[in-house]
Amino acid sequence: MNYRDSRRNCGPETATPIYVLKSPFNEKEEFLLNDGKRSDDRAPLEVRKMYFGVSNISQAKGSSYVELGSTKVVCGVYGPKEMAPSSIFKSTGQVLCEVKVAPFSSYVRRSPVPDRQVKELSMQVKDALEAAIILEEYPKAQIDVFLTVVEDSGGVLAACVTAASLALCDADIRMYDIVVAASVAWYNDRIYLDPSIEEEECIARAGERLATSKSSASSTEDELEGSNGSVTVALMPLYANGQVATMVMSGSVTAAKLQDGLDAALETCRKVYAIAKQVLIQRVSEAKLPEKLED
Amino acid sequence: MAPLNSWEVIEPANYFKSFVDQSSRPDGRDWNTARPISVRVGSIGTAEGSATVRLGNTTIVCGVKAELCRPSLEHPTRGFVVPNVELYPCCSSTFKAGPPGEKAISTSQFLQRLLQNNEIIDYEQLCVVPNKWAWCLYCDILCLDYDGNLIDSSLLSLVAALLHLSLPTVNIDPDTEALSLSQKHTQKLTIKERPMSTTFAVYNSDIQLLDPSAADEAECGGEVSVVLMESGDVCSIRKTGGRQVGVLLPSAVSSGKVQGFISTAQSRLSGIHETLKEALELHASANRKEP
Repeated sequence: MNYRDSRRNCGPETATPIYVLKSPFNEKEEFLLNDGKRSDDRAPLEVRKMYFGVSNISQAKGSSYVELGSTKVVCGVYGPKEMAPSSIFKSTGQVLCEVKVAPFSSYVRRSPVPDRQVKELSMQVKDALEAAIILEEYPKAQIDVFLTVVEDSGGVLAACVTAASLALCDADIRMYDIVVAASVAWYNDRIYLDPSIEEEECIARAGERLATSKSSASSTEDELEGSNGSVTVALMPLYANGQVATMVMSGSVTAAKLQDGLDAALETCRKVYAIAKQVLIQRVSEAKLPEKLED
Repeated sequence: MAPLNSWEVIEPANYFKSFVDQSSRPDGRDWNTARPISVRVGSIGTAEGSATVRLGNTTIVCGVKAELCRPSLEHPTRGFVVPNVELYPCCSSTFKAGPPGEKAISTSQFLQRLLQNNEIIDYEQLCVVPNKWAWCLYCDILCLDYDGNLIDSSLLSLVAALLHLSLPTVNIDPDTEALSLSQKHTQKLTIKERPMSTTFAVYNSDIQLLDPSAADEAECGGEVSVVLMESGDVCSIRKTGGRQVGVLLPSAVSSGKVQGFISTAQSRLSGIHETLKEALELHASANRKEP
């Protein structure tokens, strides 16, 4: 941090995270172990265990909790309410989406002051939600969607989008469909579903190496000349036979591999959708109806 | 969120009074009943120490991140502990987006002072090499659901997370002075005392509500927090707000009342410590099962 945060208790001027000395991740650039399993004991096309819950913030209109493996995201929805006076006039509704990432959510502590990655993440989630909410139903109103990432172990964007749309459903906001998201990674031409943070880091390092080896013409090793990258897809499975709300991709992937990966991601989205739907149906069937007023 | 009652929306003060007049509160508790407490440690895998605390609906997560730094010149043999409370707008509509508000700042300050002014942590234990290397423990306390009584819940989560914390051992090469860390996190921090807080909301000079919810806090003029050590000795008392009460009834918090608060807090103490111990034992036995 270059400046002192006057509103928080600050530690010393400079402090070094312990993971500079000791990487939390497996340093080997190998995804698959000898038995064909990934480092967290999953098959390449196996997703992590997920848990969805709704109505868990007592003070919010709608709320949800999503776990993908050990990635944990909490979402609270407030509104629709009157638009903030400072905002630009719009005849349809507006979505305000803010993601907060807990300082302890990653191995290297994040500053509590929002950084660029977090702002970008908020924007990506907002884009996915604006496609799903029937904004015409809420003229001149604002819907606040606040997300807190409690632990980040990969697939944060996917977890945030799913959490936000569950919370919106819980808040009875009218939507075209539930948006659900899933992520897929390519490494050395193989497809891996739902990459963990360790795998995401590994792909990012491979991408960096590729960029440097391509820029230096003398490079001879071509072992990384495969598809390396990752994509997060947010899908509305039922609306108009399936519409993609957001797609964020990085890396370099051949067109054929891209198609395979996207198919796998969409298939996962449909599975996530089934779980999300089940959670919402359970919430509605268990809901207490407001007591009738006696005359 | 519970369906809103129109009386509650239009006349919140009268609505609340109707409950208080019958010796109860809108959530069905009487004045001297606290909400159930649950504690879980080790819930965050990326933090070196962590704890989740629930007081009724109020949910607090505390995560401790350890970093290495240079000790300050004035205290060359001491490390740092930096508690910060974050009240994101996600947890309640009363908190705005942006930098921390007054409530978050004052609670952070309160916790900071509590740690510094009492023999709770051995700061010297946090020093690795005097004047060269020390641990800095960033304790970030996150509110996920705000239903009142931030002080009690954040203090409990901070103590539980510090008890759960384990640090890697630091080895220093005698020739190059290079640092290396052990693979396993095994070094536990000595916590000398486990301070616990009990908060009352002041409704008027006669009525004080134990463990206030968000609705209670909104209708009450101020709060009294009593922080006790495990022995029952008082280590901090904090009274905030109470303006409306103070002008009309100057004896709202008189010395007799303070004694009453302390004895109520002492009577709750063993139960809270028991819950904390159970959570730590549960975590320890779960760790033993998977080597």
